[in-house]
Amino acid sequence: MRSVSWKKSALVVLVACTAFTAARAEEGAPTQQEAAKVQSTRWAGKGKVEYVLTHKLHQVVGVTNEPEVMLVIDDSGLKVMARAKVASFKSGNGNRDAHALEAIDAANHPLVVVKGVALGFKPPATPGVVKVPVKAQVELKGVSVPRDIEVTLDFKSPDRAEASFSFPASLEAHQVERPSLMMIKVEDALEIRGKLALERK
Amino acid sequence: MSPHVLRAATALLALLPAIAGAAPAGEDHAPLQLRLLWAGDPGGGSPSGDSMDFDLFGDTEEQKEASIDPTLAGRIETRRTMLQTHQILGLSTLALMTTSAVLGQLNYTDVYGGGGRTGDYLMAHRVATYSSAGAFLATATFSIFAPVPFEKDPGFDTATAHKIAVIGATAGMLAQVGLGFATARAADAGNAKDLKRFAQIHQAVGYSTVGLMAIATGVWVF
Repeated sequence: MRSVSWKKSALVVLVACTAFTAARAEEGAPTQQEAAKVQSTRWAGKGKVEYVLTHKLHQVVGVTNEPEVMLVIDDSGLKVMARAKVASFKSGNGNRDAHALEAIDAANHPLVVVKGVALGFKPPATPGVVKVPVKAQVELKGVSVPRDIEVTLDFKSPDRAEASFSFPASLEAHQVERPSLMMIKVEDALEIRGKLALERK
Repeated sequence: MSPHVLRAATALLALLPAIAGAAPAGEDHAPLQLRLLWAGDPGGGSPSGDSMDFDLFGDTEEQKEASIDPTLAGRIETRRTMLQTHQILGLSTLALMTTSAVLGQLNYTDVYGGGGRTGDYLMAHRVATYSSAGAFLATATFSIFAPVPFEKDPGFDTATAHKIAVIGATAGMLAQVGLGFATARAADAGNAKDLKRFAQIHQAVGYSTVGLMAIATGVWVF
């Protein structure tokens, strides 16, 4: 009697296990929806970022070759973060660069940081160029300003891509007192542009 | 429930984490526990909404604070104030020097250029030159004593050109002082020939000094 009861129990457990495993296997089988899911990937990049500042008497271009970029792409979209030391921007005039660092309070805010999100972004299945509207936030002098940026992503291969962008910014929006030359202030609007090489990590 | 059923159920429960931890196709193969941590990690999680509250570099607050030098802020503020004053004084000095040159030319023409030797411009020229010298000294002071919070890259740039021009202008100003003494001595000796020669040199040095000062100001445009 006892032996029959043990066998019954074992049978129940075996059936339960089989049913559970079968259900899991069915869940695990890639449906069409799941096949469309984007595998989570992380990308890192380096390159060149410039700012273009305009004064009535001349134009200034400051360049940094030390930006850092980190990018995550997964099934919910794209998330990006880029940053550069403000002291790494060179305009070809050391004195002017020193003034710029003073104006943007580099002592307390040594980094310019851009964060952005593109919900629903999916990388192309084959190499190609895509324009990605990114809802971004630019932080300069500790002041964050929302900004819509269109980033052009050129996927060269599954592991390599190039990103380029250009967007306007405002000094006063970041509470930067506009520097003046010959008692004339520089224009408030400046352009930020860059080109970055991205590699999948 | 028999102890056998209980034992079997316990074994099944023990298997559950392993079954649940198996990643479905197309996702990463991190165990369940790791994936839960990943989802809760603001540093690298998947985008959820359009919140910008994330740090993909994963810097800690300590790392962020380590890059800040709290002593710099005061020095930067002082430097900005001093160099803005330097800029205003520098432009004023250029204006005063130009005025001195114009008045000097009028005086030279009056005394040596066939004018009536009225001496109408002598005092005005003197006041303008002394004012120029005072403003020049004050301008230099605000630049020389301004703190330098950031190291500059070495090399020739606009600031170097500015300094070279200012050094030239300083030499011109000092030469004018020396010429003043020499001219006074010639005047005391009644040596009209030397007096005119010194006046001509004074005129040339004066124009050169104004020119160098204009260069020192103008280079900032480039």
